[in-house]
Amino acid sequence: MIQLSNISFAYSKGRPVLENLDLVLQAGHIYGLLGLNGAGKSSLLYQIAGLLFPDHGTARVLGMEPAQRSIEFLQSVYLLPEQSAASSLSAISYAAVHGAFYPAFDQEHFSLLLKQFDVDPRRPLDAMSYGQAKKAMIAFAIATRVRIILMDEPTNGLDIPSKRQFRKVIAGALQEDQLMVISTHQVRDLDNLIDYLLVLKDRNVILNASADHITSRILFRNTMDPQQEAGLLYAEGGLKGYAVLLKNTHGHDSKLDTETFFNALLTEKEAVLAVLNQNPTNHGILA
Amino acid sequence: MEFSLKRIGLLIRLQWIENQKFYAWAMLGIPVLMGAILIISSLIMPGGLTDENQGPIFIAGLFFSSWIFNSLVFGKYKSRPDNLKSLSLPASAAEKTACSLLFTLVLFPVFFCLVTYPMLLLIVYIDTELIGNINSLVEIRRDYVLISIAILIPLLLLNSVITLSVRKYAFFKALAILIAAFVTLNFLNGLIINTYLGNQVPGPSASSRAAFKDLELNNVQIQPGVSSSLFSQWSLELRANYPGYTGPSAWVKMPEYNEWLPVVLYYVLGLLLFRCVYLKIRETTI
Repeated sequence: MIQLSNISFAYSKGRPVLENLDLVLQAGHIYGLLGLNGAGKSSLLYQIAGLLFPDHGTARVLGMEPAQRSIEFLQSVYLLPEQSAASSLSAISYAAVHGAFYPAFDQEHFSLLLKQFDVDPRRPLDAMSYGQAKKAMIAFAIATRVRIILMDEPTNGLDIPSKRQFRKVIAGALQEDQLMVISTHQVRDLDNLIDYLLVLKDRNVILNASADHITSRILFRNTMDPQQEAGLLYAEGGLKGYAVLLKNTHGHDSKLDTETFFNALLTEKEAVLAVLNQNPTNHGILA
Repeated sequence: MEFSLKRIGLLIRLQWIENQKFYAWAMLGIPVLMGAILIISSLIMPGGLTDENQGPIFIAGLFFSSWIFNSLVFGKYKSRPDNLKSLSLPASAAEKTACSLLFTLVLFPVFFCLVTYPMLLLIVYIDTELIGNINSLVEIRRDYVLISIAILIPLLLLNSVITLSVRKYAFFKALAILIAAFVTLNFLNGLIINTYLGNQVPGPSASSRAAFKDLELNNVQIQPGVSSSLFSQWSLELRANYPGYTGPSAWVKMPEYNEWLPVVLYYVLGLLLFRCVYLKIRETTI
């Protein structure tokens, strides 16, 4: 569905943001795009959306070249930016005016989502709080029913109940032929939501693996004494002891702790990737 | 090039609905501002609001406000959230260009005339009835209207290209570039003509020569060293051919077979500028 080959991009000469990046994303999945601030997450999304053009390499999205920004392409890809342009329209008017550009736009679903998000559909978007306006735009993005939805830091500005609601809505929104990429540096917001994890570091994707694959290779556990644990990869101290990542040699089940895993990947990159790459038949591309 | 009238309609609707507040304020603000300028002119200019004053003030207001509006419309490609929203909208670059130009080149100038002309009527009435000047409303001459349109359109297209091309302070940079271009071209024109033609001036045309002969003005020297210009082949046309003619009155005339050239150049310039705006929008990134 999305294929980026050898993509390099720099905003200014000598300061590359993405370098020789290869990425293949398939339909039917929610991808979590993680990375530190400035890692190039937004730039990567903009490349996919055709809003930035690569300096080198090729990008194909749904068989089209994003840089061409053809109408078919723009009707198939929706990018929800971190900061949307202010609009004096109400959510319902915004949907009426902008939704007309998307052939599959679902007005009823939009109204339903606004209700679920507890957003007043008649209030002007620029009179709403940042979080309320963001929820209205998330609802609009989902209601477009486009095949690829890209969300840049969608949970920024949402309160805790709204984040819970966001996870619920997103989990139920994805169709088989759709693909969603959610970029965030608030890693915990994506717990229980994503089924694939992409990690950007050093101007490249260092990990593209499914949550199932990660938990089949790595065991996530809390312990009081990490030194006693066999196959320790990483330990992180907290109020309730240590969150640890262990080699999952016996195939135990555990829940992916996205934040701890992300921290482990940043600090113990080689060890973690080595464990994930042990079986060459795994699903996912690992750096 | 993807182009659909339906999507153009959607873009026009979007532009209208999203900017309704702006248009409402403009509908109030423009006539009030123009009214103030016209009243001040009526009070300080000799003879008040004469028809020689009304036209230039009206045209200057039209040009300046159209320019500002044009800068605002194309300036949205400079603000990241607005730019992102515009570029992501499912419409082609050609459709977005056409909609923006329709608003800035056609709808806004028409809107300006519709809201300002009644104010001009009112101020001329005040100028005559209350201030005491004896003036009437300027006659709208077709050739003046056409000349104004012919200047306004390329000027706004050029401003669109400049606004899309520079990152910051687009309005002021466009103004500076236009002034610099105007001054340079005028200076260069003189320099080039002087280089090629020296002190030559056009000689009389065949018809002028015949007229001179008829009027027995064979020995009239229009300027010392008169000769036809080989470079431009422009000529001097005698204008006065009526009975009771008292002296030579002449004008420089372009050869008739070349008159199509500036017209074609004008349309080519317009098309090139339109193409520049389209390409800038197509290649804009965030």
